[in-house]
Amino acid sequence: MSISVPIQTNEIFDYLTKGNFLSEDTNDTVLKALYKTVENNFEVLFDYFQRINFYLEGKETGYFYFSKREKEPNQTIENKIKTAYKWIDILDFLKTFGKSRNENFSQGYVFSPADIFNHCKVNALLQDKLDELKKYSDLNIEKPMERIQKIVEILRKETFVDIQNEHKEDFKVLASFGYLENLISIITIKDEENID
Amino acid sequence: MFVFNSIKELIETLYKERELIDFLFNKRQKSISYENLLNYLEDNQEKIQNLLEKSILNQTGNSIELDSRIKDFFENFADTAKEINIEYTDYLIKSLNEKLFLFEEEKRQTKKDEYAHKIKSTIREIAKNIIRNINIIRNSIEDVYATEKNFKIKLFLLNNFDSKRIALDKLIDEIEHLQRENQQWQFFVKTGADDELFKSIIILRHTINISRRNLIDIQQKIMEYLNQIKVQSQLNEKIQKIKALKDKLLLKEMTNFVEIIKNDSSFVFQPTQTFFTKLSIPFLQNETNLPILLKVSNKHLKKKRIKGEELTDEIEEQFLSISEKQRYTINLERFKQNFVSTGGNLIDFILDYDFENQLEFKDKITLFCKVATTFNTDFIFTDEYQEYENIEFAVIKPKKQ
Repeated sequence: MSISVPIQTNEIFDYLTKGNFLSEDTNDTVLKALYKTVENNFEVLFDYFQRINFYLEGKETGYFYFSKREKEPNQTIENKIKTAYKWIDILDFLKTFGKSRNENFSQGYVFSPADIFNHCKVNALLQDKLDELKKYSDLNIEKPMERIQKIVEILRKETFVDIQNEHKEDFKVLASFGYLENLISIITIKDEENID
Repeated sequence: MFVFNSIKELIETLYKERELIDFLFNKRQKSISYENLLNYLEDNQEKIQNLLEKSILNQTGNSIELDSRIKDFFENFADTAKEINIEYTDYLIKSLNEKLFLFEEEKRQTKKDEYAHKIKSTIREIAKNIIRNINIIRNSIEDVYATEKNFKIKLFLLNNFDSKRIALDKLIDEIEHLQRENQQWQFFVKTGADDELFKSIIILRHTINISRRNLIDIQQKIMEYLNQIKVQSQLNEKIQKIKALKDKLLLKEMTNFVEIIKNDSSFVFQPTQTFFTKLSIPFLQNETNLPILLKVSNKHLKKKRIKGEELTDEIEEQFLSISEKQRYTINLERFKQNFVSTGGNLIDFILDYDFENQLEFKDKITLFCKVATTFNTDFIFTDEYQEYENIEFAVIKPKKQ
């Protein structure tokens, strides 16, 4: 059986196999067009990629990504857990920042590294959390502002945020950020009452 | 105090000052200082004073604004009001009740007609007012949800709109109750009935139907928005809890975290996918790709040279046991030059050559092959052969220069 896939299939494959997310609210017009293509051809593309063991995920969430369903060696799981720990710390830091402004660090939120830096200066809790992030080798940067910039760079590289205004250094949180939030929300805590 | 002699005079004044009024109306959300206004009027103090006296303008402290009656009139008329005014609707309903009572009690026909007229216009006003309030609520909730960043303010405003919605819903109940149960209303409809009244009543009923549907929709929207805020704040709490468990090294123990991470097969927690493919033979054979191949190979060579610290493959034992201190090598280039200048047949040249070290026959064959292949372009390969020790050697001669 032959499936007629959109002509952008190669671009979509290249972009998603890099571990990127395609978000509906990206500022990049090329990526926005790719998102639309995936949205309009979801069934066909899902079927097509599935045959080469790439699962197109994220229907009706505002973002698409690839996953691979195969059994992993224990080593990989250990590494995944380590990476997840780091994301928990980063997420906790960002949410604490949002909360300190009575705002939600979530999809559509616009911020700048300087905003975060200024809040760290007046909020000791936030400052502690920022210092704690130094334990990760790529965030082991002495200057707080540079460490914050590195965090934002990681978020951008992982396509969770997008640059909003180059001149003012503003960033926008994309729909894909919901992936991290969702991961947290599906964790169930046993015996919740016993935790202070 | 109304200082004008007639409405006409008021309108004339307003018309004369239309530029200033327009300016102040556009800036009604901010406060304009006396100095700024003076600047705008090019230092015409007299004009400001005059308008203040006529109550067109109002001064509070140092700020000047349009009189609230004028401002409200424009806002109402232009439908730009952003304030939800349930109290006014409430007032209209009460006033309708009063007039219905007066209409029933009044015996003089002229007075009765006057009340009838007022009742009809109040009915129309109520319909208009309800719709306007609904539109304002609807726009406001969407506006607040989309633009208000501070979730405490957002929560407060949404709850506020919800209570206004409930109040409006109650007022609509009251109107319906009035139409059904109020004896004076029924008396009025029976006695004062004309086309105009029926039209107004139909409009009012239609308005009530639309309003009910809209209010349900608004309620759903508010609930949805409030819910989203709730979900977000629950998520914030959850992250805090998860983070605390992680720091206490209890995350694996107390949650299904490991299972979730195990099942997550996205690439966020995995190294980037890389694909290794071989170059296709047709690609390698295509001459147009030669520059790319050369570039790659150059890069490869350079890299090797720069690195310089790579370990070589292990040397086999047998080679290490050789205890020679010096190794005899032949400079092929010079050897070739000697051959070219001497001329003759390559194998004869090699066999007769007076080497510094004694070479074995097999070494001479190796040398023959090396020279022949390395400098093949400088030689002529003839079709003749010469045989030495059962091996045939091609007759190779230097090219004539």
